[in-house]
Parts: sequence; C-alpha cells; structure tokens
Amino acid sequence: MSRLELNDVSYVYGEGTPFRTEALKNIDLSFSDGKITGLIGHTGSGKSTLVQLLNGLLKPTSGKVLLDGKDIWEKPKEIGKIRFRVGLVMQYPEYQLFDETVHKDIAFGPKNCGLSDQEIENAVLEAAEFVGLDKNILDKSPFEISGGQKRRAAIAGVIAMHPEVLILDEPAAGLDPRGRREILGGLKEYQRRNGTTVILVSHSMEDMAYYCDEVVVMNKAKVLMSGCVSDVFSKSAELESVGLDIPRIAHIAKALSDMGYDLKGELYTVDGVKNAIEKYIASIS
Amino acid sequence: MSENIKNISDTASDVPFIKVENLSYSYENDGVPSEPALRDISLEIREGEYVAVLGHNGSGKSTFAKLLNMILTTDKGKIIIDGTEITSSSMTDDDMFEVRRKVGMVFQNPDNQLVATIVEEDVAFGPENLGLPRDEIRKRVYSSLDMVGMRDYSKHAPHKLSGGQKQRVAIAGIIAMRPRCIIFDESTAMLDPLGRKEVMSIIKRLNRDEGITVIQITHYMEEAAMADRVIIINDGTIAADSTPRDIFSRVDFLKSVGLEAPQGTELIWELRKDGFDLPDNCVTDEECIAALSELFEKTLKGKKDEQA
Repeated sequence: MSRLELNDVSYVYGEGTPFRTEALKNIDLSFSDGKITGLIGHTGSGKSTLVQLLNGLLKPTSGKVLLDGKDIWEKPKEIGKIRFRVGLVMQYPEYQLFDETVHKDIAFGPKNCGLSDQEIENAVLEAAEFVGLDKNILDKSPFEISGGQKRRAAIAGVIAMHPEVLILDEPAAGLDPRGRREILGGLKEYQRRNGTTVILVSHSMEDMAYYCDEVVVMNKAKVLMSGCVSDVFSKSAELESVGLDIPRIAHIAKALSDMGYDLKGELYTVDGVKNAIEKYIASIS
Repeated sequence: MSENIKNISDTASDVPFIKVENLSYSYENDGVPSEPALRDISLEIREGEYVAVLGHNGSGKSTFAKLLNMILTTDKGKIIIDGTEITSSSMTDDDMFEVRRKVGMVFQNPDNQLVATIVEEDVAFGPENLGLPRDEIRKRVYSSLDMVGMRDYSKHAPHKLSGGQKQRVAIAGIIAMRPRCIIFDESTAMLDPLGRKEVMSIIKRLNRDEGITVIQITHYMEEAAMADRVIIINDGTIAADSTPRDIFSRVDFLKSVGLEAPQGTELIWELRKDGFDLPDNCVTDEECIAALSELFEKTLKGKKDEQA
C-alpha cells in the first residue's frame, strides 16, 4: 500500500449549472513512497484539480483520497491538518509571500505546525539551504529580492514544514536553465535525504526525464498512462497522439534506433544516450 | 531617374530601425543607484529582423526591452528608433505615445495584459486611443483577430480562454496599433507546450509575412533557434551577437553564461570531448542524427575493411 492513493475519484466543477465540467473521471492511482513522480498533461487535462484534491483544497465529488490508508475527509473539520502532511507549492508561489522578512515567511508554516523555536530555526535554515537561498537574504524583505529568490523563498516555506508528501506545481516555470537546475536539483537532494514522496507537475519533458523516477500522464480527465520514466517515454507514439512530446534527445535516439542502430539503455537523457552510443560503437568496432 | 530611386531605397535599408549607443541603466534603491543592470551597450537592429535575446535571470535583458519601449528611461546613452532619439530630454508625452505605437510589447503574464470583458473590446482598446474612426477600428480589430486565429472568439470573455489564447488576444491588441516592431518579453514562459507552439507560429508569421521587426526575449533555446540573430546579454553587457548556429555550437560559452545548448548539440559536444570524430556545428536534431549515423557507418565500414 502506498502512503498516498486515489480510490475511484471523480471531480465535477459547476454541478447543476450549464457549465458542468467533469475535471476528473474515476481515477485510481497510487504514488510510490519515497519517489519523485512527475505529473504531465495539457492545460485542462485535470492535473491541477488532482493536486488540489491531494491536499484537501478540493473535496472529491465521489471517491476517496487516502493518506496512510485513511480517507482524508473522514473528519472534515480536521482537513487543515492534512495540509501540514501534504505540502503544496502552487504555481508562481512568489505571489504568496507576505511577511516582513524572508526568514519570517519561511517560518510561518513550521510555526503553525507547533514546533519549538529551535526546531523552527533549524527547519528554516535547512529549507533555505536546499533551495539555494543565501543566509544574508533571510533578513531582507521578500519584496526587495529578485524573482528567482522569491520563488526559492516560497518553496522553502513549504519544505520547512517537512511534509510527508511534497507537491510542486511547475516550480521552475519562467526560470533560466541554471535556475531550473539549481531548484530542481535541490529538491531532488532534499527528497533523497528525507525520503519524502514528491509529486512534480511540469510541462518540461526534459525535466521529467532528468529528475523523476515515475511519470503519470493525464489526458481528458483520466490517467492515460503511468509507470517508470523509461516505460512512459518509450511510448512516444501514444504521447504524441495526445499532443505531448518526448524529450528532444529521445527523438534523436529514436530516429537512430529506427535507422537500425541498436542503441540500448536509458534513451531519454543526454547522459543516457551518450552512454548508449559509446556502448554501441564499442560493440561494432 | 531609376538609378535615383534605387539609391534612395538603398539608403533607407541601410538606416537601422533601432540604434542603441553606449546605453547604461541602474535601478535605484532608496535613491541610491545599485549595480548597473546594463553597461555601455551598443547595437543596431534593422527593420524586418528577427532577433532573439537570451540571458539568465537578472542578466539585464528585460531592462533592455523596457528601455526600448520607454517603460524605463535613462540619460546614459542613446536609443534612436526610426530616426527619433527616445532618450532625448525633449521627448513629450505625445512622442512617447508614438514610440509605443511603433514598438509594441507583449509581456509574460497573459492575465496582466487584458483589460476588457470581451475579446474584441480588448483588441479595440489601443486603436480607440489612437482616435481612429469607428469603421477603421472595427476593420483593424477583425483583421488583427484573423491574423492570430482568434476571430471565432471575438465575443468571448478573455478570462475563460487558455493561456495561449489570451496571449494571442494580447498580440492582436498590439497588431491593431500597426506597429513596426514587437518586443516579446518572455511571452511564452507561462504557457504549456501547445500554447507556446501557437504563439511561436504567430511570431514567425508576423515577421515573415508582415515584415514586422521582432525582438524576442526568451529562455527557450529552441525558440531562439528560429531567429535570424541571437544576442546574449550577460551581466549587463552583450556577450555574443551572431547567428543561432554559431552561438548554439559554442556549448562551453553557453554554459559559462548560465544557458544551455539544445540537447542534440550537447550530446555531440560530450561525445567530441570523449574523442569521437564528429563535426562541431550540429544544431538541429536532423544535423545531429546525420552526423551520428555517419559516425556509425564509418565505424561499421572500418570493421568490415579490417575483416576483409
């Protein structure tokens, strides 16, 4: 049994109105513990609805969201507690910073979890380190730091609560390549050290290939496919049929395989393809 | 006589549409100037060019775009657009309005740019402010919506559109002003892959078919690859100004300025480092595939010859 599961979950917006939309239809899904699962799909595929259901911001129209085997809506009045256990970093979280200093902003979550002052201090410093925030930034106002730093501060605020499940909706959107690498790399390091279950929503197939262990593909309110990264990216035709793509490097590897060159291995990252090519050349020379 | 005309048109095409001379800019923090965001930049952009501007966050590229559109002003250096020095102290509000009509700007967040509650009213906002007659406004609104493929949505509410559709409406609003140049300031950053494709194909078409000068600021290398020319800004200065092919094949340099080469180029570069005999100028996926299959064939042939 996984820590976080969806059991026949459906969600309908605008029930009883002419705008009724089924955002999710009968979803059965479990997220592997201690892994990074990527969540991909078009705008409107249902992935944002899904992440909001996972931490109780939305309540399923039917079906159950199970955390450690328990329905999170069993005691609706205590749904707030779920949000400490399932932390959600929304898209463009930098717009949600509000406190006087970056330090206070990051400390807001842990404080409300009921941690001691020393624990809060440790949590803040540790979270800041993972997202790559300099110590001297912590005393500044969140409004006088750069956009990239704001993003990091907002992510640190959720990490500092040490949620069992951490969900991030496009945490690297709008950042330059180096910024993406630093933030996503920091997250992977955090996940590796703490064994947190991470769900990463992204449009970037390259990031999925590089940082995720497993991938869930959403399409038209349903799960189109799920599995480990190599399984999902090997189904390029299916992905393309719903307008999704595979990483560019995977295109190159696939074209070469289709030409009859026998490349084997993880053919969806630059390193993976490089290794496959070097092995192939060794085998033919 | 015919020679005369030729001479005139020759001179016209030699005059840059945008000329930047020794431009610097510093933001102020409580009245104290901080580290300059731009240092002594000089460049020229010709009418009809498609220029991509790359640089990591905080490199100064957005500052540059804002200076071109007079969202920011400076007295350090000159910007001359279509013969008018916009950095001059004698610029009036009317002059500024004219600059913004000629040089339109599409921003990153589609939600921050739409003002009206119906798509066609939003597109009409600019032309209405130009004081054009009603018929002309209507004509421009519909032709602009046609150009971005949003005519069918003219009576829709903007907030119900997808991100890509919103950006297309924002672009239509700019086109309706009949600009000579459009600056796209990371206009695809908040869109999903489908939305990005939609907007990119419109940008290409505006440049190719309408002759509009395009300056596109982006983090996406595959978008920059579509431009005629790529300018890389790093720490407030121009670190490179060349063709996409030339720039993308310089993988070490790209890394040093916080950027990345396309994945295929990086693969070839990594293999070259390991001693494989591959060309150093592969940029498109097709070129990378061709180069690799050639290497495989050579190796296979070498083995056959050996066996023979």
